[in-house]
Amino acid sequence: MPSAEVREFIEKVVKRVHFVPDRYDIQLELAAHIEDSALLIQEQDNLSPEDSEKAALERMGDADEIGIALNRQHNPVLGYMWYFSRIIMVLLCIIVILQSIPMLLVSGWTILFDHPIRDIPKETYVRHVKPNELIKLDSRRIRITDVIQTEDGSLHILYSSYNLSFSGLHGWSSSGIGIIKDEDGETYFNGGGRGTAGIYSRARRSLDNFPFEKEKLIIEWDYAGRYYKVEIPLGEVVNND
Amino acid sequence: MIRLKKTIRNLLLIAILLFLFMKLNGLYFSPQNALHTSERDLHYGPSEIIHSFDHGKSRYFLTRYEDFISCSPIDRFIGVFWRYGAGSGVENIKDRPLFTSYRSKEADWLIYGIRNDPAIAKVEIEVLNSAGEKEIYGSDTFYEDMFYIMWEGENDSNILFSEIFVGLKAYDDNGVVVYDSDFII
Repeated sequence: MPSAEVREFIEKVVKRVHFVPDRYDIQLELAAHIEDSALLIQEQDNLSPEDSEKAALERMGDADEIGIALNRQHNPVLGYMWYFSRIIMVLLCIIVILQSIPMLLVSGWTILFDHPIRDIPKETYVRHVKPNELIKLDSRRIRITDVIQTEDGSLHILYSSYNLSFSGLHGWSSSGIGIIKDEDGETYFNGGGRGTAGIYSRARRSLDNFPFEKEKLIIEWDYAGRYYKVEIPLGEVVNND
Repeated sequence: MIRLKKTIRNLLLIAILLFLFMKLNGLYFSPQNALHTSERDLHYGPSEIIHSFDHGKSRYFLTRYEDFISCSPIDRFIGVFWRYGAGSGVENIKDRPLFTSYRSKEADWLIYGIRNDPAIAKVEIEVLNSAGEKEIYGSDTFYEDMFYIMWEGENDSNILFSEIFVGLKAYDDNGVVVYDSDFII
């Protein structure tokens, strides 16, 4: 336990240090240094503990000067920048990790396990083509992976999509693929479908009663200055009893 | 020196984490960026901003893109950010003297539109308030032919615009009615 004089000396020094979080460490370091110095003086000069402590304080010099020098070393501007940047970094890290977990889980689940093609029993297929057609629509990339017609006449368009602007990260983006037609210009709206969430999504668009005799599927987007048209040959109908 | 290095490292990590935080939440430093990114993700625009105004925690943008018009709100978030989330437009039907659309947000109703007849100098909308009484709101301010009228109603998500809409009138400089519609916009 340092004496009142030593505590007073140390207080005077640390008052000059404007970066408050470092003051405690400086106090400990100075107290240890004065104690070591006093012990050395006590052994060398054969003085009493009180006298050796006084001598050690005298050897330390002027408390204000030491404080000013230490303040320069413990630059408060840099000190506080470091201190607050550490707090902000930790907070942001926690928030980003907590917010990312659901999105990463959903995306991981989609990529690994959730494929809407599994909604369609294989034994019901009468036509199946894999166009592997890549569509670029603004920063969105859509890949038509499979087109399947089943024995009940439904036509299923399966596609995956992601957005280069990472809008999937906050779950807000367009998911449509456009108007669906056949080679004669007949449009098809009735049906259903589903899509998965996350940064990479897979979707199924199903159309009811698509005629078996049609040979081509046309997917067209013509809205607000954007245009694409994809023509997909559907192949022959097989196993349609 | 060690502290300087650590500070630089922290600042770099903060920049990366802030980028991720903004991406995860759809945040931008500028409302225009938020609007135009929202539009692009809806495969629309970028629209030309004709006029903007603040209302509540949102900034509304009266915009035009090709034959489309829109009035999208972009919300302020924790003071410095603007949150992505609106953006598509409606196509102007040019054979109508006045083309309008509407939107609601919390307790606010908004109609906006464009005058296709340059003689139109004032627009008025008649709506029902929560007590079932008729109220008239109007505007004679046009921004490159676009206008908006905003009013506060007792709005909840169950109320449809068709339930409160009574009529829409447009007048010329002499106060003569040049457009009168009691159809929903």
